[in-house]
Amino acid sequence: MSAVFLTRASAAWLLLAALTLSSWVLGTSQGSGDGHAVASLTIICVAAFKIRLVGLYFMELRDAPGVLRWIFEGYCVVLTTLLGVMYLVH
Amino acid sequence: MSTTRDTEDVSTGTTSRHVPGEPGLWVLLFGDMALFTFLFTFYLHDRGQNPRLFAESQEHLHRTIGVINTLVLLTSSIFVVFALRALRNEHMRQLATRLAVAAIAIGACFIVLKLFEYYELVTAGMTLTSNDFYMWYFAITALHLGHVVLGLLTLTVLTRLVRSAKTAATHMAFFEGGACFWHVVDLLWIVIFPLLYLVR
Amino acid sequence: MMSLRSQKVLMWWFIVFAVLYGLAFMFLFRMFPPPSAEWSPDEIARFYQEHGTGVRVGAMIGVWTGGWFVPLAVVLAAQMYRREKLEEGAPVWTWLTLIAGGLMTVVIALPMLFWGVAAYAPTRAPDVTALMHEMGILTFITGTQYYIFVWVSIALMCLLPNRVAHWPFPRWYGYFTILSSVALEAGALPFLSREGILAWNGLLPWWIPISNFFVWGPVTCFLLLRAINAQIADEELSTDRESA
Repeated sequence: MSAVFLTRASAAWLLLAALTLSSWVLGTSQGSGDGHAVASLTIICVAAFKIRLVGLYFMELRDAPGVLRWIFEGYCVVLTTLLGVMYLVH
Repeated sequence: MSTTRDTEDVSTGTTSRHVPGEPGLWVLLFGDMALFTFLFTFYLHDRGQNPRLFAESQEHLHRTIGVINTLVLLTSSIFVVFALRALRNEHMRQLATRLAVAAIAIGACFIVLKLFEYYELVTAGMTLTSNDFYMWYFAITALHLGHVVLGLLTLTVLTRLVRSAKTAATHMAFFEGGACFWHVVDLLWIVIFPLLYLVR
Repeated sequence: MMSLRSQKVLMWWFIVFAVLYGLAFMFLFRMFPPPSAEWSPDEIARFYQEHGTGVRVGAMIGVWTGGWFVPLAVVLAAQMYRREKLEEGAPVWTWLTLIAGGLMTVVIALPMLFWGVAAYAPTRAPDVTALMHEMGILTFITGTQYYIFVWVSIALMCLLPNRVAHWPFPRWYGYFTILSSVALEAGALPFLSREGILAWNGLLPWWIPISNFFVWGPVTCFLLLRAINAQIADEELSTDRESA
């Protein structure tokens, strides 16, 4: 039984759930405008990190050939940068 | 029975790495992710033109339902991971089907919650054509919802495939592939929820 | 052998006609992308008055070249038939591709005709001109479903086990075709809005599908021609052996 459930992916799930709730609390806290910029950027970065966890532990990219894994990691970086920049540009 | 997937080549000491599903599938997965990334980018661009409108409209969204849906998909995904692990273990194969069915059932809750959310919004007068924010909201979430439906259908087909006693290598590859598609659906919502519901 | 050489002719027929059609679309009709869906009928009428000659020449080219999808659909069907004829029963995916090729052509050929009609009498009531203008654009952009019949057929064959030599498409192409189908379904959305991402010049119904098409087209041509050449080489080899 534990062979199925006791795995790094389960630990990742716990972390993902915790991050989800934290982002939600952060996102529902204050109002909008400049006060929320730091919170929003944090939320974006956390989202990209969560994606990375899903890719590496759920989609098993940790054990995949280098090319696949690095395309994915590259995507996470591009996503964070793109969303962060687009958020800040008015 | 071992559940590890890295097969160590004793003579060279190297670990052979394994492509989840099959290489061609990743054209679809990365392509899909790229498509949504375009949408996210242009969403933020439009938001930048009118941040106050977007922030005000966002307040009407059901953040609680959104966060529950995130947890729903995460849980559904981990059950798919469990199902795959059970499938690889000769003694646990029966468990695999039950875990997969659980994953599908949990995932289906997403659809129910989403439709409820849509119903609440529409009856309160907020539709696709209300303003730019809602156009983006409905377009992105509806496209994602379509993926959820496709993902659940795929998982259902694969679960039935897997119920047959033999698990040939191709069946494993199919299941892995379908699982990866489901994880992409999960992964996309992980960005969509904060982007549409929280970021302002 | 005759069939294979004919398929090559059809491929080049498709390529030449598609390119001419595309050039007319871009430079004579100026529809790449289509102009804003928020134009008033007067603005639309003015467009056809200003560019009347270009549009009418374009319509002539469009009528000549609008059938470009037919030869491609036939070649695709011919390649599918090589596989389906090995099974019992009707070659349904081949038939689906053929019919879809014909129906898709209606959607491809009509828009240039409609725009030509709009330019045919530029002093008509602007509302009437606007109607033909909109009919052309909406036909072209929303009528994507027939492509998907073809693509489902291809994707299925790419992902199922294959027993014929030189099947043109590798497995990754099957997945790419699935992605293309998803991208093109968005074509139907412009009915919902005249501006933003759902509009006929918006991200989802226009830019994403057209970008996809510019990748899909050359890749498909390359793979098909390569396979047909390989099949021709095979046949030459076997006829050499027979005569030896």
